[in-house]
Amino acid sequence: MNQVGYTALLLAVLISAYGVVAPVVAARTGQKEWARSAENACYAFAAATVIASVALLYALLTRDFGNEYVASYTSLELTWFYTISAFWAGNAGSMLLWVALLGIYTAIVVYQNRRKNREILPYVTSVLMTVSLFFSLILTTSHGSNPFAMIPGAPPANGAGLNPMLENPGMVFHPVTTYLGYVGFSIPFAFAMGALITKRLGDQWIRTTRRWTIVAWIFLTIGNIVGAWWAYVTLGWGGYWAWDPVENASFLPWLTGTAFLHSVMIQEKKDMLKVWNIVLIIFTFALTIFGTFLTRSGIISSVHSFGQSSLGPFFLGFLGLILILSLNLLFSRLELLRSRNELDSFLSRESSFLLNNLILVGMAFTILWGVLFPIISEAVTGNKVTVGPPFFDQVMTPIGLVLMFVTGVCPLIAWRRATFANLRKNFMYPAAVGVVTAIALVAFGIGDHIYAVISFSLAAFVVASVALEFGRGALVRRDMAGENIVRALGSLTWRNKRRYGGYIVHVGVVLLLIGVTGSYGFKQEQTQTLTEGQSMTVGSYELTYVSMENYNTSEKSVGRATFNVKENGRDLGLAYPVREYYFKKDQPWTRIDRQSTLGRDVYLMLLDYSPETGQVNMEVNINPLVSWLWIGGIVMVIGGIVAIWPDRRDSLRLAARYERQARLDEI
Amino acid sequence: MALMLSAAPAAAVPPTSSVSDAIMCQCGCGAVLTNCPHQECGWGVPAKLFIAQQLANGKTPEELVQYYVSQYGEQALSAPTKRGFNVAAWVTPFVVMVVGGVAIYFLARLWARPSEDDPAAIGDGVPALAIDSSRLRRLEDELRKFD
Repeated sequence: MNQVGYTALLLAVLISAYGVVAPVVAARTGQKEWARSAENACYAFAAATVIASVALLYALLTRDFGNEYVASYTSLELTWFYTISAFWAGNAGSMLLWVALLGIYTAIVVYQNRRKNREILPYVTSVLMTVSLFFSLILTTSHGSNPFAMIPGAPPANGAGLNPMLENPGMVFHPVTTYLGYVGFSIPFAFAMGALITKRLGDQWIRTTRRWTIVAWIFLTIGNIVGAWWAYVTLGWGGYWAWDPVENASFLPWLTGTAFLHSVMIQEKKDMLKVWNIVLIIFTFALTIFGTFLTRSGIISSVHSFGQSSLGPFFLGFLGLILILSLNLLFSRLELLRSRNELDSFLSRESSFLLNNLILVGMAFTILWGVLFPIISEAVTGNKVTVGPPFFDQVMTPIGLVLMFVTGVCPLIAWRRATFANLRKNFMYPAAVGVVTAIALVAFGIGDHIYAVISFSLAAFVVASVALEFGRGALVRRDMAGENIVRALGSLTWRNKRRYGGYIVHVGVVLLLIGVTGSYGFKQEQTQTLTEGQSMTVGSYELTYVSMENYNTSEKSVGRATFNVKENGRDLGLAYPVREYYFKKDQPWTRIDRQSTLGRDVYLMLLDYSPETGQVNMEVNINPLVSWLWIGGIVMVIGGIVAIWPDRRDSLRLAARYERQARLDEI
Repeated sequence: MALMLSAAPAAAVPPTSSVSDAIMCQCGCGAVLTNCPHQECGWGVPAKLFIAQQLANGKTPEELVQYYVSQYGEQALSAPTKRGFNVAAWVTPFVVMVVGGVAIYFLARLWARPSEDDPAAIGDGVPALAIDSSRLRRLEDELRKFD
């Protein structure tokens, strides 16, 4: 099967090279045979990469230790579930995953557009095949990136096994969803390039790729949230986001992608910001490549990096090429992209979207600035400095609060034109809710935590403003359609999926930020050495060390402590933090236990223990409200799904709108 | 929520994280000491124990941070100081945001139609959905035709 896989990859290189050229020939000559052949090349590329993926999966599941990749990331003891995740545990497998996903996405694009966008499609597929060619070449020619490289001589009897930190369900889903997001942004980028090349610079390319963009955004959201959850339950430091350079790298395209999702609405409604939208999607796509570069360049040390690799210069070169070619193309079309740039009023939803874009892009700039500042500082002063979490926490917090404010304000401002009188009327209830929340929080004694008070108050303000939007709409529907209020809410959302899906996403963001505020601002921690029967106290929690159980398996020794947890004397049950030692990897590992409620997590880490004396060294964190972070993530994803759910009425409305526009253009 | 959050009592000894958040782990992982992913880190684990002991002995977090700076240089800090060229790290994002905000203000003013009472404009300040019932009825009728 290894030979089959490698041959499929070689074929993928040839097919993608053909797929770069053939569509351009088709477009230039207008010959349908070339166009059909180019499209078939996309299907063939997808098939070749899927065959290669199946071959690698087969090698992993059958423990073909003659395959270097299989021997490095699996062992006889590894369960089948984590054997699947070994597919993307290393550099070569994760690159194959990237290529296969891009192949599948490209095939779907070709199929979806078999009867539409015919002028632009050849260039779209040519761009996608160029990206595919780059990755396929890396897979087949770069040392250490071939997932089918064989070990010289006899295969080992057993493999090295998976890194214990990857043996977690989060690691099964986090890389796949992140890649689904990263790769997904290739599609709107390719359409933008196609639009520039063919000079079809209306909003057709945006309408065509709207769902692709949201799908990419949803997957990247899931990827980031699951990654944070994985860090929280696996790495054992009690947190979920460390502003690690690679975390930053996956947050950057999410921010610019979110800005893009908002600003395209202005182009759709007002035919404005055409250049800005193309700039945003170019940088969003470039940032996905930048993230891939960071993990493979070896220039940073990170829990995410694939160790030393020689791929950095290739990725940097490719990144440079993308930026030079796409920006050059953009500049050459500037004249055609000139918009009317006319707002009906300074005070309008459109203006607030400009502000929202400023903040999202400003956040992306801040992160990039933080990542690059050590290099700049060393170049200017010769001093090496580190830019870590305290910098990002301090700088991003106020910007994040402004973003939260804008999230609440946007729905209150009318499209096209708002007046101060109506604004005042719309603001009244949400602002009152926010102020009452602030007063209540200060009255309950958390006035010292000023950022937390602002954050929770803004959260209340945003939720109130979204509730007002839903409430008003539902009341109108109830009066009009005679539905009860619950049904009216449902049909309101169902009939305006894009709009109300977006509001649900906003609520998700707020819930997430409540989780972040609570767990950052009010965390309590305690480290203590205990013997059996002793207790430790953290805030209002008392944890009693009951017993220690030791046992060995074929791959590890396990120490499992039992703790009784009480809150203000009330029994909360038992917790079982674990300390393991992996023989083959000579690696100790902690598996945390936690008691989670909506109010807080009691998070227990067994840092060390002595099998002889039974003494344990424990770290216990109380993380308030952290569950809301995960709930917020789920709500964001639900909102995204609502927003892209197919709607015949939407399609018809848009079709009618564009037909009207076409008629007007003719006049 | 407030009741739950206000339950936090004041700790007598500052937590280890008051120091381990402020300095980088020196094992080469590139992470802040608190977040070092190597659970058996040869540098980080003893350092955390040392910090916990020193804090229990009455040392302040500032003294301990200074100790690590004297040992490993300014690079040991997890964030740039707010002195000299490092000020640029802290100020630049806000300067960029303010400049961007001013630019957007003037752009929006420039792009806004001069006449504020343009009859073509709809949405008299009420959010777009809160349209009057006759319009909604018409919209519903039109949508029904599509169905």
